[in-house]
Amino acid sequence: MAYNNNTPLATETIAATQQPIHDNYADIETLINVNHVGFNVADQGKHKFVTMPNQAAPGPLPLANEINMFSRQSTLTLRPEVCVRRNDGTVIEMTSSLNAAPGWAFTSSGLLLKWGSATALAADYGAGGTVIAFPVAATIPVYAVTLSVFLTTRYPGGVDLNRIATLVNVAAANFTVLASSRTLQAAPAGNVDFYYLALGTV
Amino acid sequence: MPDYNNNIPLPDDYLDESQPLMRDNFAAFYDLININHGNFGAADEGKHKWVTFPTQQPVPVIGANEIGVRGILSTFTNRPEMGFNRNAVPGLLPFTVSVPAIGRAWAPLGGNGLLIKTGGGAGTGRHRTDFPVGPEIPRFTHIYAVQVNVITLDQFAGNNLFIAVENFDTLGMNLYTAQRTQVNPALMYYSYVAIGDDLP
Repeated sequence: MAYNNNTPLATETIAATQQPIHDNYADIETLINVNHVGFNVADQGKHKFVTMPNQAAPGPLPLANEINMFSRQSTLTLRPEVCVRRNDGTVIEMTSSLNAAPGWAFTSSGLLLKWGSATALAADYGAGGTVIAFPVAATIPVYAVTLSVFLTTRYPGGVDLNRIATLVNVAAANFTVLASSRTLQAAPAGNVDFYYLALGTV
Repeated sequence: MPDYNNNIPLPDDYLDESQPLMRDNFAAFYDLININHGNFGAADEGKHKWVTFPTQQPVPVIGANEIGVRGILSTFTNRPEMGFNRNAVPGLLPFTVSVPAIGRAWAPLGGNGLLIKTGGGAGTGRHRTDFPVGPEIPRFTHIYAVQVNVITLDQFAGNNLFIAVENFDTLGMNLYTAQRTQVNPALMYYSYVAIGDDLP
């Protein structure tokens, strides 16, 4: 029976209200048993787990001294993701990520990490370095501000190539890497592969 | 605290029989809602003051358009931790678990299933360093990124050190350490950070 939130009425006899009252009690217990530890046991009222059906984007707006946690269908990962929304309207998709290389992930504070590998061109030595654009796709979040980029030079095969990748500049959509000789202030003998890890905000 | 009775009133109950049971039920419902929740009549009625998660086993079933939050007794930290459950991913994606031990630290990267490991090593020229293993450390099943930095023990000698990555896998990294200004292998200490996951 559906829960009746308008029973008993003042003009009703107990014979008329017994059934809806009885049904309401059963409905209350059925509802409480979803996600919660139910009545009459040690942990009653606590949460076994919290299931969050998707909410319409952008998600519910909390009051000034509150924060909301909810689930919504991500346009980035195309699956339900846990989000928090602040009173200022900002939303953090704290479970969104692309577990791959290259890949990306949000931290629960809203920082966006991106990682991957790329190649700085020897031919760009005299031109200020090679501009490396972060991968772009509808399913990849975009930096508003790139806070930092870390590079590690790659030596395929473990051979000392006497080359080094050095960070030159960081922008929202890209970063610039200089390929050079490691032991000389000169152009390298070839291109320089490297791994990168970037932190930023959206 | 009165026991909740979900089978009252019965049709043949007299009011004096049903009345105390109904009263007890309303009291029990009030008491239950008052745990974790803003109670009836309060400004925050129905909202959650906080959410207490007794640890749960087995893993609850999550629907396709849902995501779950629960507590679990972690086999890594041996304490209750929180994590997410997805419909398509077995097990738990923890977001509070971590082992912040120097040299063998790891932590989840926010509850998306990614793990970050950080530690250190030492070597000369071409060599390999493996990620620490142990009952308190999850093993990578996939690895996506590593960054390695020289640790300068001497500010002058350290200025002439260089490290490169040859490649990496779920168990560790193959590295190359050398003098920066010479094509000569060199002994050095270094720190690293690695990102991967332990998902199937």
